[in-house]
Amino acid sequence: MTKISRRNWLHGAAGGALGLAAGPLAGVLPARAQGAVKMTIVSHRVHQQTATEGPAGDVIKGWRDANNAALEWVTLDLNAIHDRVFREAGLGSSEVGVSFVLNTRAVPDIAPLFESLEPYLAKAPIEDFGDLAQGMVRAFTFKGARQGIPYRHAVNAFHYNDAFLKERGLERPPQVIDELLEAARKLTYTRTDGTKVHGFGFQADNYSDVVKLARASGGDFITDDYKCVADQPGMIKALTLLRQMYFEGLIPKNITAMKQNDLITAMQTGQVAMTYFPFGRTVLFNDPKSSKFPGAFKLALPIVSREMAAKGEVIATAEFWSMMIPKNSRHKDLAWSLIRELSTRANTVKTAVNGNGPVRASAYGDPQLMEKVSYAALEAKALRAARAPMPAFNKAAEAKDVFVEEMQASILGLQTPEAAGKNMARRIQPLLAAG
Amino acid sequence: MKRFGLRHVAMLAPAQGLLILLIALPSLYVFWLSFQESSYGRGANFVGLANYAAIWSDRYFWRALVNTLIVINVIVYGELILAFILASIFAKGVPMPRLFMAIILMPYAISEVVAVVTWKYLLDPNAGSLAKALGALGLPEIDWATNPSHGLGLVCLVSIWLHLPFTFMIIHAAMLAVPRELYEAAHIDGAGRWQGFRYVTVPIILPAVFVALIFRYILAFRLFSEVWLLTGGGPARTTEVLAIYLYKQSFTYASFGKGAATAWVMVVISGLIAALYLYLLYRRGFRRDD
Repeated sequence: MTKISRRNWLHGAAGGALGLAAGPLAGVLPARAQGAVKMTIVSHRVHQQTATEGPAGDVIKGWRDANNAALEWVTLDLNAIHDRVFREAGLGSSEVGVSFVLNTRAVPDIAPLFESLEPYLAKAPIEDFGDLAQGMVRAFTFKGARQGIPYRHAVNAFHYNDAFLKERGLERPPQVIDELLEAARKLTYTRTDGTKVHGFGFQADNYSDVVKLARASGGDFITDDYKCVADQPGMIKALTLLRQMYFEGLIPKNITAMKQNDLITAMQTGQVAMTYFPFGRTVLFNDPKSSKFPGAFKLALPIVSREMAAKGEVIATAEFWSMMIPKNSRHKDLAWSLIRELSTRANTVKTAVNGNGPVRASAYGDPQLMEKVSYAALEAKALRAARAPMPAFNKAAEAKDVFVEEMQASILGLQTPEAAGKNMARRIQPLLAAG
Repeated sequence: MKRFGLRHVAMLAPAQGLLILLIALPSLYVFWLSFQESSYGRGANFVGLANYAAIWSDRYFWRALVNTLIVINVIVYGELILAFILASIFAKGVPMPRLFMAIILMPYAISEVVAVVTWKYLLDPNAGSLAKALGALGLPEIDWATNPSHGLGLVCLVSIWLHLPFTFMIIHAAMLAVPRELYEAAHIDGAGRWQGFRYVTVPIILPAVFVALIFRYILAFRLFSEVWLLTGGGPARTTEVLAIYLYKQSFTYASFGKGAATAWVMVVISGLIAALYLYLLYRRGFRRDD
């Protein structure tokens, strides 16, 4: 009798298992779950939050139920989103249906990766399309084809913890740039509960807040005709101010390692008294579930110079996000359906109530918004004067890194603000010329 | 003697096929890409050695390279010394050995991201409990966010903490395999503890040490998450290491050609380091005296 060796038994078992598995699979079509259609969205956390959480509730729940759709939100930090979006869009096919893209990354080079929305708009138009901010639509139009639908503007406000101001005997937040240093000094202290408060915080891994201070000092970073003016007095003043505040301990020591979410947490926990953030963040700062000071945070328009204040001028920076459909998406129709849903007049108001910056002019006239969003009138005023902190161009990511590097070196005392400004201009101007 | 036939090739084919598909072919593709100019939405354009020349003349590449070489040597040798000490203690015997073994191995079970973020918050200068404890004890502050030396030092500390179990297991297993009779013979010949360690333990476990060194060098060379999550390569790009430089070139600046060139430079450098230790391993460890 032939002895069955262990080797022969293993071979036989493996073959049998393969045969059993192949049978049921043989005639099966590409697997599709019996349940919901799963679509991935790549965005910032704020997009998911405003679409699904907040005082207005889950804005797209009805849409999900009607379309039997399950959305997988992949939310990333500001810098990481576009890495992921473009990498996904470069693959053969993708489960990503909607990609949120910031206006500074809307350059002609990325256009081939995303769908033209013209056929979708012709077949299933968006409600009252003309009511959407057309400047934002134009920013995402390439060779005459619209490729992005705006979802959120992030016009910035000056946020401050009013409870701290009262504790320190300040009647109002600083309104002009000359007052910022003194206010930050007063608001840097240790509270009775031991919390060390810093007067001012800003996003030191980005350019936006520094550009606001530069514009308040009569300067800028990159003009609309693509000239880098970081070596001019306005930017130098802003860098000098930040450096002085840092050396006096008015800014958190680890500011250069703090990401946006770290700064939000610092505000919520009382480690920072004043900062710049989009208007809608006040909802988060005052959220009783996550903030130690719910109701204490208030808003003001960004700081200007004395001369601007005398003329009633407003400085505001605004970037905006648009929704795009990758060309390799497997869920293009579903993605367009979601984009239409998020862009309706009603849902634009609802997401604004949840803390979003609405991209429809009519939203600021909506009584529901004006009633539920206390800062709506102020935001509308800022929006009218808002400019992007940096125009879009191909090498924007490199320019941003150069700016952050030189700015951090200046703040930490590794170089003077003047040298930082000169280096920025020298290194960034050639990047602008590259397109 | 059995001949190596078709049956043996068929048995090896799946594993070799996976290696070729997942490692060899992508590596060749990246090598090809390193001679191209390529980005999102654009086809590849042959540029010869331009990417390598660009990297060669980029001061940030050299800074990242120097940072990487310093950090990996501190990590690898720091880990080795600690692993030796711990393995020696365990080889002599500890009370509750399983419990202490589990404590030592625990960091290896933790996700790198979770570990780094935990350390980051523990040492947060504003609210970190460990930072406050160090301050209360009068010890100097770890200024990891703004001082590049402190930042890279913390990176080394976290990396050693995370990967020490790996080196420890290799050294410990090698020490346990040293025959007791050799120690007895050495003792009879009048050797003290240090001499026993120097002339008995070390020569026998040396091949295992070289294996641990090779693995750790190669893995440490790819150091990314510790630096990215702690300092992001800052402040002012002073703590950037090669993996971060590669990430920025490829995914932030979308310069795939330069990223690919950086990747191959990393492969060559880590290959040279590994080759040195492989040679030593061959000479001191596995070569037969014929």
